[in-house]
Amino acid sequence: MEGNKSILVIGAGPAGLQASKDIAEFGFRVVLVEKNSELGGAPIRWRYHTLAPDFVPTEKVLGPLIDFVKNNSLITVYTNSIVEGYERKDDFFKIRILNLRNKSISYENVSSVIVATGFEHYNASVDPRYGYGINPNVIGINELEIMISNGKVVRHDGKIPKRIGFILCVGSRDKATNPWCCTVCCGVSIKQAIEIKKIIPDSQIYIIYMDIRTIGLWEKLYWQSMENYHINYIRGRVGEIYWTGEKLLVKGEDTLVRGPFEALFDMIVLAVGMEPGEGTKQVAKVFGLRVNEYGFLSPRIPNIHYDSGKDGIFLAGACVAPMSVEEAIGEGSAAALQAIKYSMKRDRKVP
Amino acid sequence: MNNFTLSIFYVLFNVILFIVSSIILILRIKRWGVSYPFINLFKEFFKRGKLKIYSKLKILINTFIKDLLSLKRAGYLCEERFHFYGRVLLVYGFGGVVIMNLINFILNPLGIPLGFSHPLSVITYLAYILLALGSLMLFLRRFIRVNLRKTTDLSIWLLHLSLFYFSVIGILYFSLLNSGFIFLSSIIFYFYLGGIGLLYLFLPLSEVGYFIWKASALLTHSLSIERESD
Amino acid sequence: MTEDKKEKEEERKGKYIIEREYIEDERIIEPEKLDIGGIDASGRWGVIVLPRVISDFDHSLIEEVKKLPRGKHIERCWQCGLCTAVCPVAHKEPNFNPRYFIYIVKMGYKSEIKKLKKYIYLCQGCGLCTEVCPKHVDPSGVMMALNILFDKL
Repeated sequence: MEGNKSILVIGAGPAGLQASKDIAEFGFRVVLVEKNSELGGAPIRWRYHTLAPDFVPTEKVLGPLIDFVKNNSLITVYTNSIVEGYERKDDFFKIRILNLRNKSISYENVSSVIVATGFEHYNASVDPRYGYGINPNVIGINELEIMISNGKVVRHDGKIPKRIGFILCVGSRDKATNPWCCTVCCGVSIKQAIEIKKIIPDSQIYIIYMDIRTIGLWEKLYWQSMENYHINYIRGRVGEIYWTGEKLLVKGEDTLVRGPFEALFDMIVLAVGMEPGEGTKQVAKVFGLRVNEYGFLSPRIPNIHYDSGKDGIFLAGACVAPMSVEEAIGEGSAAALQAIKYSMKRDRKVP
Repeated sequence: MNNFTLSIFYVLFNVILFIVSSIILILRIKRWGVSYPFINLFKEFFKRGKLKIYSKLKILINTFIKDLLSLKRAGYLCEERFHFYGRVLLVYGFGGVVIMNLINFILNPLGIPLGFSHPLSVITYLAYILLALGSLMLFLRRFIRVNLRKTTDLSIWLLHLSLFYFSVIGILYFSLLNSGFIFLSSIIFYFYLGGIGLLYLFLPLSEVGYFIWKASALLTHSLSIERESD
Repeated sequence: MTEDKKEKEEERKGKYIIEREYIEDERIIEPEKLDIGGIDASGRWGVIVLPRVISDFDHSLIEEVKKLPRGKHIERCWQCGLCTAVCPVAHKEPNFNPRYFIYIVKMGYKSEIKKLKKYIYLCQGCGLCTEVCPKHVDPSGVMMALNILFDKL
């Protein structure tokens, strides 16, 4: 049977792309299934302009991966497709792939599976406090990233905003919505604040935070933002946002003054966090993978992400826990090696 | 140049530089935009209020002794006694040097060497040694510890070093004078004048200028508190 | 003297407000006559307390402090509170809080500055705060600059 030199990778985000590249360079065949029409996952779907902390352009990191995957003969790419079901036959998986556009079904035989289905951004319209979707000029960091990619940050009426506020921990660290922390929101928001300051030099930017969690070496973003770009930080929380017809009235509490503030802003950016997406939930149901109380895929041992606990199925990337692009790329590589080892073991005639 | 012209030169040097120094201080305070130090004190002193002049004087002297002379505001509460004693030595040493120079000039205008065991000499030496010790203590304290060395401003290094230089040159000059090396001491005299000039020009631009303003602000504040509480 | 003090106590604004000590004097208005929609509310019930909501940010003070001697690093402060933690004056007089002074100057809260102006004199220049500050803000120097700034305000 030829199935033993093929590996299925579900999801073409940073983790999935890196896994496909490693497996193809090793010499095995890759079946890459992606739900959307573009490869690249969240960084491409939301047009990330640069990656924290060194402002590396996204194309420099993901571009080579996408080009490799598109041009390599060992990688078969199914876009606009999902994995609908599978059968376990002897030593391999028979995968049923459904094309969402033309509803056609394909079959592939693979010896192991890597799940790298990624995340979705939290939808802030669930939370009525901020008026997301109702008040104009209240946007999420994903929408701001598209504006920054285009080089113009404007309000809904086309004017340039003078006073911009970032609200961190929207939807995250909250028992009512998502109790976990999204790891990278603080760093990404600060990176975006610096980029806005470069585009609109005379703007006043305020970051309203509960904690600043710039992980690891991303700390230098925080220091830079205060010292070189004069971004103001208010420790506190926002209770309500009203649209006065011209500006946004933000009502909150400033913890350090121990008092309320009500200030007018031109634009508010919500740092919406990561949550497990529809793709993750669907794949978990198909393969019967364990899901933890937050909805993320749960590995057998929480500190070893690639081991899903099921024979031949490996996990990588933001479907397991919120993480940055660099961590996802690392996990993709790790899962690829595990999948290769598993496939090669199955290939040998074990006495 | 005989002693008489040298004395006149010395007086003129001090007077002119004192005026220049005061002008520098006043210009600096003007740039800060606050009230001028002693003028505000004067105005506050003569404002109409319930207190008589005598009680106002008492408050001023009280504040001066308790807050300023005892260096209560100079780290009295601070746990590091080394720092506090260094400052005490520096302040009293500097005050002593200034006073002793004045007294020496009044009693001995021609600068005749008095010898090592004359009481004026002894007190002068004491003042210079205190100043040298104080500035050296403060300088070394900052130089040895890494986190202090990295966070100290340039103006503080210059302040300690110039005071130390002044005290060492002073000791050298007076020792040479008293030991009878007239020619050598006349050369060192110019270095000594250089030290005085350096201090006159640098002190108003350093922390000392700020302290002079703050001292008069404190005295003004102590008077205005009494007045407002009536 | 105690007679005078007692009279002064009775003259205090808003003396019928419970927990009166939490409200600053400037926020209490006691008009002589107060007419609300035709109803005469003068006297004890006609006391108005202005809100203490901060309604705007003012960053002009920061620019001034940066020009004063030794105040140029004030913008680095990230409000960690180490300076207050080691300050010997803050332990005796809680209203003298170096971290808080830097914050109200950075954000321009003039009402808070007016309240705390009189405590800025207490800085002793011992320099402990400068030793421990992780961002090299030099709080000791910033206190010197704030002494000058608060004198102007």
